[in-house]
Amino acid sequence: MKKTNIAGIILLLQVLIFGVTFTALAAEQIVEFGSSETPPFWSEHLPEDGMAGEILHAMSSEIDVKSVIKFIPLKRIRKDLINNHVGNPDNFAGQEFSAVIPIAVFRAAFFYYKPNHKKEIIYRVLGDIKGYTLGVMRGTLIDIPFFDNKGIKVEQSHSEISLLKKLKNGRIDLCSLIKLSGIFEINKLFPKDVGNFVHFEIKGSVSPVTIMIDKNHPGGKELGKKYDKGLKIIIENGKYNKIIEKYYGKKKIPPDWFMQLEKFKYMFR
Amino acid sequence: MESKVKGLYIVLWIGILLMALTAPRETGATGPRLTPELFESEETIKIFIYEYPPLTTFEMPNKGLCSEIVLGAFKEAGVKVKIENQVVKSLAMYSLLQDNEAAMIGEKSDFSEDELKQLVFMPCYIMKGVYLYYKPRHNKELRWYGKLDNLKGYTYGALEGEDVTTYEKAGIKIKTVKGGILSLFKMLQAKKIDFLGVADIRGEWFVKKHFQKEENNFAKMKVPVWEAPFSIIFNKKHARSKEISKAFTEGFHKIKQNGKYIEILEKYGKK
Repeated sequence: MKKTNIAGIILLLQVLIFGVTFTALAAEQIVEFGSSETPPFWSEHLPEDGMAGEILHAMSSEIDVKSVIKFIPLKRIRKDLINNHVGNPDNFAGQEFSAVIPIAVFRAAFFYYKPNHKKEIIYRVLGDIKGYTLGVMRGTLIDIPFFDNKGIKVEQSHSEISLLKKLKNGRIDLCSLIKLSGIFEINKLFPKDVGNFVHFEIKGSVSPVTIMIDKNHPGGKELGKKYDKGLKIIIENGKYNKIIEKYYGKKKIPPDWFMQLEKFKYMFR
Repeated sequence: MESKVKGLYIVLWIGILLMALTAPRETGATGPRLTPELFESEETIKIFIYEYPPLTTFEMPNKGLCSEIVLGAFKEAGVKVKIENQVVKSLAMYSLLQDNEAAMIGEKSDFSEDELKQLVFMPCYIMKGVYLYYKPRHNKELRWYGKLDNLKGYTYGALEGEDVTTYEKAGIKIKTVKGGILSLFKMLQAKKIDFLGVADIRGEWFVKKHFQKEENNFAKMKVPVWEAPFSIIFNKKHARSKEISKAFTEGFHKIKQNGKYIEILEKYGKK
């Protein structure tokens, strides 16, 4: 075979490969979201970017959209009020969005470590933890004097891991965390001691996990509708439940999960 | 010497990398926010509602007619309550029955016999059911005179899951609609159904809100279809159940006597 023929075939192949790649990319819209590490909801160290990440990718694949999550420290992300985000919209007060789509929910809980307390702690109302030291994540406690006035000493930490270590060492009596994140981190940090950690869900603390499309994102409203459609599809075909059950356990999705999701959908409509 | 420096440099970099990987993380964007409101329930009784405009809704001042009546009665009784809208009816019921909250506002017919055993109902407003039709579709006034047979041959718009046997027995055609009551109104306007059934106060509200320009085209058939109370529902299992239901009764009696109850009804065009 002549050299020119071989060169021609190579060139043709290159054009074909380029064409196929270009067509694939053109058909698929790429949307970028900023997130901070919040395992197991959002994490670049977990398969498919964590539980909520997997939901986002599954709904995206149903609507020919490729969603990319960029993990950024929270301090930076909170200052960024111009890009798309994922998480709790409360953290982005001041930013306007053309679409906010709730894709999951989370709830907060108080955790304590049994071996450090001779007397069992039972939390029903805030008065039950009077006199104790409560560890919280920096930036999550909106009104520290409110807790001071209730006789609860507050100690702030910069991470869930640090809070749980302080809890085990007895530096704090209780800590407040996202319930699922707390359980996830305890299993990772103290796998042999899981049974000694007790948690109490904080009533009324259910909040949304959402995807937020900035108001200046081109075609934001339509994109929001597409995502909504994608979510509906994966809920109907069962993919959604399978993802949640990976983290909550089979048939252990909280019974009010979908009602809460519907409520938040209404509130962000 | 140079290779030792190079080695040290590599070790340093590995160290920095390890530090970066094991460094504690910042709190996430999906994070709990502990606000005082979250712990309000200790002193404040929560009354759960769902979107049922104009009786309980985000869309009206004081969250709707029944919310306003309940707030007014408790205010008279000196009990601090907060209305919390769960939007979805099943979630409001879940809060009452599973989370053992004190009370909600709703209808008796939504509960099972077993559930009814733990609940106490105190009506705040009596709804009247009416049949609505769309005048441009009919040359003459539609009348049923309390007998469904008079609407034989017409098409009734029903919501999914609604029991339509009495209509079928009367020779009325049925068209079932997915979605909410607004979908029914749209079917009526599109002349795909002849009439629908709705609580009069809700019917008036939907027409005003969604079909403002055509308000006069929607007409009520004269005889009411049913009557059903919209009530405050107390959970007997709640620790303060007796105290708050007693307070409500007293407060409700007071607002009926001092004219505040009528004042609220008039605000919503009712007496």
